[in-house]
Amino acid sequence: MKFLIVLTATVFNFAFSAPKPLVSIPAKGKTTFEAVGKPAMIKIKGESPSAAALISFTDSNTSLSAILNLELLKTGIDMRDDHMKEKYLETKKFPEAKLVIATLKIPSTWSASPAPIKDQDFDGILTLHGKDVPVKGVFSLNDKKIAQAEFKIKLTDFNIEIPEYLGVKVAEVVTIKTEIQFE
Amino acid sequence: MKIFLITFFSLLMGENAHAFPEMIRHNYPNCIACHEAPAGGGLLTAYGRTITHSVLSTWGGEKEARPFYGAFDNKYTQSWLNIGGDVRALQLYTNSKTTKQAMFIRMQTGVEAAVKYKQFKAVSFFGKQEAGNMVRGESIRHYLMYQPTDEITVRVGRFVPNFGLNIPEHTLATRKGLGFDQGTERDQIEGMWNGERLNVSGSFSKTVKTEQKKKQENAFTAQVNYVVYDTYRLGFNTWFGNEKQKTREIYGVNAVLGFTEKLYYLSEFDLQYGFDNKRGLFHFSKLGYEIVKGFHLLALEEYRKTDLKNEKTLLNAHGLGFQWFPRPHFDFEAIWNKRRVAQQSNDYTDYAYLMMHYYF
Repeated sequence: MKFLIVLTATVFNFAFSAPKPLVSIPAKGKTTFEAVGKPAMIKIKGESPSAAALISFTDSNTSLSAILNLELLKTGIDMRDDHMKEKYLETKKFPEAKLVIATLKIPSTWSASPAPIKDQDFDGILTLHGKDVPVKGVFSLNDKKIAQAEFKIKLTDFNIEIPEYLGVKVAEVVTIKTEIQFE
Repeated sequence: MKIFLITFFSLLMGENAHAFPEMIRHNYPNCIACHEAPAGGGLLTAYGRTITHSVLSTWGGEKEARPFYGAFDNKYTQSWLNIGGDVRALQLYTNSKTTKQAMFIRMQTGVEAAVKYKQFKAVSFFGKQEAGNMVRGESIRHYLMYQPTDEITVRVGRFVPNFGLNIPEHTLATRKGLGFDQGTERDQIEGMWNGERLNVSGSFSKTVKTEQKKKQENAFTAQVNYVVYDTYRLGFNTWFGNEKQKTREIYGVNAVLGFTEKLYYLSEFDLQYGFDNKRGLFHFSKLGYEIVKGFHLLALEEYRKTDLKNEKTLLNAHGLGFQWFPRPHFDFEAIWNKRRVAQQSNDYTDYAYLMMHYYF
């Protein structure tokens, strides 16, 4: 009987102590991108508020899913924003970008004892402009629950036309960085 | 009649703009996106014109910024021809213990055109401003440019050498003081690399012989600029000149610092070993803050001592002012300076100007 009580308590204890997912705080963090415009090597930088993200833990796996509202991207020049959203990203048709990292090497006990995770390589799937494309990048998570991810994409992989405006053409590869504060 | 026509076309077709290295604060490390000339200044590209409304001016629209306010937009001609020009004038005021003077000076009136074919481009600025508000029908700046890659340009022709910071205040110590004022175009060949971080240029040049300038200086100049953190640029420049067996050397450093999109600072120091074997120091700095879009508060400072051992060769000035780009095609700069020219007096003179610039 005593054994049964202990077993039941242990099972319940495990169930109740299963790590809660980490949920992002929308007002904190940001997502940025950086592209180069040639021939003058103009740095085109865009920024939006943080992506809505979730890190889920199971005993065997940790995963991340983040969704970004592309309508909120801004580059500092209104006309450039309009071109980017209307002509290239087609945000009316494809308003969001989604990054899924199926496996992160983060222990399920991380929430209980957060320890910094630095520059961990990841493989993910980015959904953008209606296309799912594998991406590789680097992920970090500090003990204050701020995650950072960086990866590069090739615009043509997503069927996005290479932006060109009055003789300035954007390089095909764009660097994306995201910073997310979790609760 | 000829003068009338030139002036008429200048007013109609002018297109020119100064170089603004401080645009680095908006992540523009190189000049070639906005100017036909890789070293900046002069005729604006189509992209540069859109920037005049979207980034530079307080008011205005995309179409307004185009040549002729978009009235003659034609895709075919735009693919190979770019025409512009400018009219620039200065109202000057000086006040010292001995003199008080106000003067209006027409500084520049001309037409500039670029004709493109594949990787080649021919550019000419036509119109030489002369005394008495006269404009001579003459090309003062012209070159043929070859651009085999996005990064590399080669120019042959007559233009001001790429040395130090190409700023619109061309009368300051590091421009006029060293001989890079307006009207100091030289015959030269120039090669330039415009990279993402690194910008390198070198040129061989020769002074243009005129009635006033009989001696010719042959010179080699090299400049290296490096961009750090996207909005900060540091540069180093050298000049080796030779004129009838006499030589001069200049070694300079410069910085363009875009602290934020609104706050910026430019500075240059040049040490010259002159033809007369005298060592001189030339310096300017400019601090700017864009309080509202298109309106900048400025603090300017310059120092020139052509002979470090002779106090009488000192000129120094410091002042405050503003620069305003109300709408595309218009540019105003007003500066009030306290200036001392040691050769004349040890007292500071009030020196103020309003520069008015209209460009298409």
